[in-house]
Amino acid sequence: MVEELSEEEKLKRFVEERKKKMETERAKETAMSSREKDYVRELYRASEKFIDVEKGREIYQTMREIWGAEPLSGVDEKMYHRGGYKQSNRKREFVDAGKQVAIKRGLPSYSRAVGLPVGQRMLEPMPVGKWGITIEQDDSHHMNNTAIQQLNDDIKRTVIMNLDLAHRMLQVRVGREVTPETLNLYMETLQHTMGAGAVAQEHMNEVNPYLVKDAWAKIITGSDEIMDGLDPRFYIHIDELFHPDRAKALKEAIGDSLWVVFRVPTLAVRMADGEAAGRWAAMQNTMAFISAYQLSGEHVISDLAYAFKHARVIHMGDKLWTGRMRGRNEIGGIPDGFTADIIQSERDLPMIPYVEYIEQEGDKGASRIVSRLNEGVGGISAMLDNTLWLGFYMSGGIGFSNTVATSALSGGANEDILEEFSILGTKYLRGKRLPTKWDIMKVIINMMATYVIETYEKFPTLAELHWGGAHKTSIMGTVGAGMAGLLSGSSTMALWAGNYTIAYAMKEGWLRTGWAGQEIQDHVGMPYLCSFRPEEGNLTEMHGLNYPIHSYSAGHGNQRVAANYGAMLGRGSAWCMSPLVKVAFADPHLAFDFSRPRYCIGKAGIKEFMPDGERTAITPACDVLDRGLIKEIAKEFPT
Amino acid sequence: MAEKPKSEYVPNIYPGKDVVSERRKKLWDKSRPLLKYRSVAEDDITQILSHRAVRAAYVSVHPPLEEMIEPYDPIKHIVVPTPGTRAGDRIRFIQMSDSFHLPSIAPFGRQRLYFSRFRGMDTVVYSGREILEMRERDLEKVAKMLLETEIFNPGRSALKGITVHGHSLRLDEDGLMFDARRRYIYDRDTGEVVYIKDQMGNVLDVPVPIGPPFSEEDCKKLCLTYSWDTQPYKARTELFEVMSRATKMRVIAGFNPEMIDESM
Repeated sequence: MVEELSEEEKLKRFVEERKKKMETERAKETAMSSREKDYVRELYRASEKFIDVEKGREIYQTMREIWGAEPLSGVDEKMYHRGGYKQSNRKREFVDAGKQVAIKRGLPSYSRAVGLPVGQRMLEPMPVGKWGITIEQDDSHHMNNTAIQQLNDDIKRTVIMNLDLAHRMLQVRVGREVTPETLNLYMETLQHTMGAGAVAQEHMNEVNPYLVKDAWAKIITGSDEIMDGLDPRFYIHIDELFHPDRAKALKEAIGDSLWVVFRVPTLAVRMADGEAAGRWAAMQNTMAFISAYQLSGEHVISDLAYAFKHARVIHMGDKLWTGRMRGRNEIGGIPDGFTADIIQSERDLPMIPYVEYIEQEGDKGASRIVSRLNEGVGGISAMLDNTLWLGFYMSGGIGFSNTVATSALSGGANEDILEEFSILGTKYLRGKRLPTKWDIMKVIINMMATYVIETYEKFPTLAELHWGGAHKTSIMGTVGAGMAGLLSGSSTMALWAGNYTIAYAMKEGWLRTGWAGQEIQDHVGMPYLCSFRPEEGNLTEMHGLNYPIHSYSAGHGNQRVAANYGAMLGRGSAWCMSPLVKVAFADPHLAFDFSRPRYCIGKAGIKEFMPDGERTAITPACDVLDRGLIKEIAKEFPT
Repeated sequence: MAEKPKSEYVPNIYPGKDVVSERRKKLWDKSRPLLKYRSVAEDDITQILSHRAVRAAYVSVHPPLEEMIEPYDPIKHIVVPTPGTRAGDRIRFIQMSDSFHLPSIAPFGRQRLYFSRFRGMDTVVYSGREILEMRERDLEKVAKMLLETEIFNPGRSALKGITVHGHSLRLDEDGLMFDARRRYIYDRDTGEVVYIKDQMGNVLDVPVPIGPPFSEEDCKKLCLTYSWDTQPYKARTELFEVMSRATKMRVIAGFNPEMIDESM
C-alpha cells in the first residue's frame, strides 16, 4: 500500500533527501579537491624545472625570429618608443602614397594625422608558413594581396559540367556520332568560345584574347581509354598530379563519365559575380557544341542548354539565403567539404590513414601531415572565411578579420604546436585510430587544448602575435578540430572537438573567447552536429557559411574545414566530398597553386605573384595617378 | 498573498575547490561583498567616463516615470525601476579592458559578475574588453564599485572607450597593459597609475590618480583565470568533468531532451 503523505511532510522529506544528497556530493568533492591540490603543488614545482625545456621548442625560435626579443618575457621594454608607424616600410609607403593621391586629386586621402597613433607597439614582421618569406601584416590584406584575390577568383570562375547526357542527346536524338576526333574538335572550339570567340555568327563583338588568356576548359575523366584518344592538352592528368594510390581511387570514383571543368575569365567574375560564371560557361559550352557538332537552332539546343545550366552542372557554391543574398559560385555558398577538396596540399602523399602514416614514417611523417593540414587550412579556408567572406563581403573590408586569417598564415607558430602534439601521437597511438567516442576523445582534446592554452601563457610573444581573442579562437578551434579529425577520421567528432575546445576549454580557462559572442556557434553548433535532418544539421561536409549558425563571426572557417580535411586525412581518403572538385583544382594552368596556398600568398606579399585578370591590354600606358581623373570625364560633349 | 517560502537550494556557482574557482564563486555571488582597495572621488569618475561635465545635470531622454502615463503593463508592477530609469536618464557606457596576463577579472568574469550583481544593464563580451550600458546615474554608481574594489588592478585593467586592443600584448616597462592612446601612465614618484585622458582618449584638465598597480604576488593571488604558473588549468578535474558532461548532453540531447537520463 502506498504511504499517504501530507504536502508538508512531502516537502520535509524532499528537503531531507536533498540535504543527504548534497552531503554525499560535498564529501566526494572534498576528496577530489584534496587530490587536486596535491597534484597542483607537484605540477607547480615541476613546471619551474621545465622552463629550460621551453627554450628547446621550435616555437621559441620562431618567436625569437619574429620579435627579436626573449620570447618568454612578458615585458616589452621598448613599447611606446618604436617610432610609430615609421617602423614599418609599408606604412611609410602608404603615407607617401596618401600624400601624392591627395595632392593629385585635390581631396584628402590616407593620412596618419587622423585616428589613432599607429605603431606604439611593435609592428611585427610575419614569416609565412615555413616558406622563408616574411611579409608585413598589411601585405595580407586582400586588397593588397593579388594571390588572395586570385584564390577568390579561381574558385568563383570554376564550373564543372557533365557531358554524358549531352552526348546521349546528340547520339539518340540528333543521330550524331561522338568520337575522340569530335571530342578533340569540340575541346579546341571550346578554348575559343571560352574567351568569347564567335563561332556561329559574324556580327558578334569579340574579346581581346589578352584579356581572357585565363579562360579555358579541360576534361576530367577516370577512363584511361578515353584519355588515350584525347589530345593531351585537353584533359587533367590525374596520374601525373596525384600520388598513384590517390590517382587510382579518384579515377575509380569518376569512372567512365566525362566532365568538363570550365575556367571563366577572371575579369568576368570581377565585373559581375560568381553566378555569371555558370551562365558564361553554359553559353560558351553550348556554342562549342553547336559549332563542333554542326547543330542548328533545333530542339536539342534547349535541352543541351538546360543540361549545362541546370541539370548536369556543379557550381562551387550554392545560393545564399535571402538576407545575405548572392548567386551561386560565391564564397558564402561553398560547402566545407568542397573547400577541403579545393585544398590540394595532400596530393603527393600516400593514401593511408594518418595514424598508420605516422607509424610508418615516424616524427617526420607527423610533421609532414600537420604542415600540409596547416598549409591548406591556413592558406585557403582561413582566407575564404575570415578575409573574404566575413572581412570583405560581410564587414565591408574593415581589416580586422584579415588579421584573424593572417594568424593562420603566420610563420610556423601553428605548425610548431601541432607538430609537437602530433609527434607525441606517434609514440602513443601505435597506428591505431581513435574510436569516435567522446569519452575517449575528450581525454586527448583536453590534453591538447590545455597544451595550446599553456603555450600561449608561457609565450607572451605568441599571445601578442595572435593579439585578439578571435585569433586565438581560430587557432584553438583549428587545432582541436584538425587533430580530432586526424586521429578519428570522423568529421563529426572533429567538429565536436573543435566546438568544445572553443566554447568550453578556452572559455572557462581564460574567461574569454573572441569578439562579441565568438563562441556562440560552438555552443549552438553542438546539437546540430549529430542531427541529419536538414533544418537541424547535416553532414559536416555539407555545412558552410551558407548554414545560418556558421556565419556569425570570424575565426571558424578554418575550424570547420580542419574538421573535414583532417578527417579526410585521418581516414586516408583521396577526396572529401567530390572527386571532381579535388581533380578540378589540381589543374596546373591555374595561377593560384592550391597545393601551396600560403606560398602564393607570401609571394604576393613581396610582389612576386602574377595574377590573372589583367586589363593592361585595353588601358592607356600612363602614370598610375592619372587614371580616371574627373577632368577627363568632365570634358564637354562634341557638338 | 502568502509569503513565498525561501528556497533551500544553495547554488554552487562554479565547480571545483581550487583558488581560482573560489574567486569565481566569490565574484559571481551577489551576497558576498567585494573588498575595497582604494577610493576614487565621484567627480573623478565622472571625468574619466566623459559623458557629462562634472556636477552638470543628468541629460534625460524621457520625463520621470512618475510623470508619464503609459499603457498598462504587468511587468512594470513587478520590476522596480532603478533610480536612473525613474529619472529618465539616457543610457551611457563604461568599457573596461582586462589584460591577458594574470588579470583580476576577465571579460566573461565581468559579464557573469554584472548579471549577478547589477540591475538594468546590458553588456557585450569581447576578447579583451567588456562594455556595460546603464542609465547614467546607475552607471556612475557601479563604476565606483568597478574601480574601487579588488576586481580592478590599475596596471592590468583599464577604461577604454575606443581603441581597445592591447589586452594580449606584453606589458610595458612599468608593468602596465598596453594602450595605443596612452590614457594612463605610471607615476614613478607616487607609484600610482594616473589617468591623463578620459576613456575616449581626450586629455583631462586634471589628471586622475587611480591607485598603485597590484604587485606580482597580488596579481597571482587575485587572478581570476587559470594559468600554468599559478593554478594550472589542466589539473582541474572537476571543472573538466562538468564541461565534458555539458558538451555531451548538448550534442546528444540538443534536439531530443528526452534522451537525457540519470546516468548522464
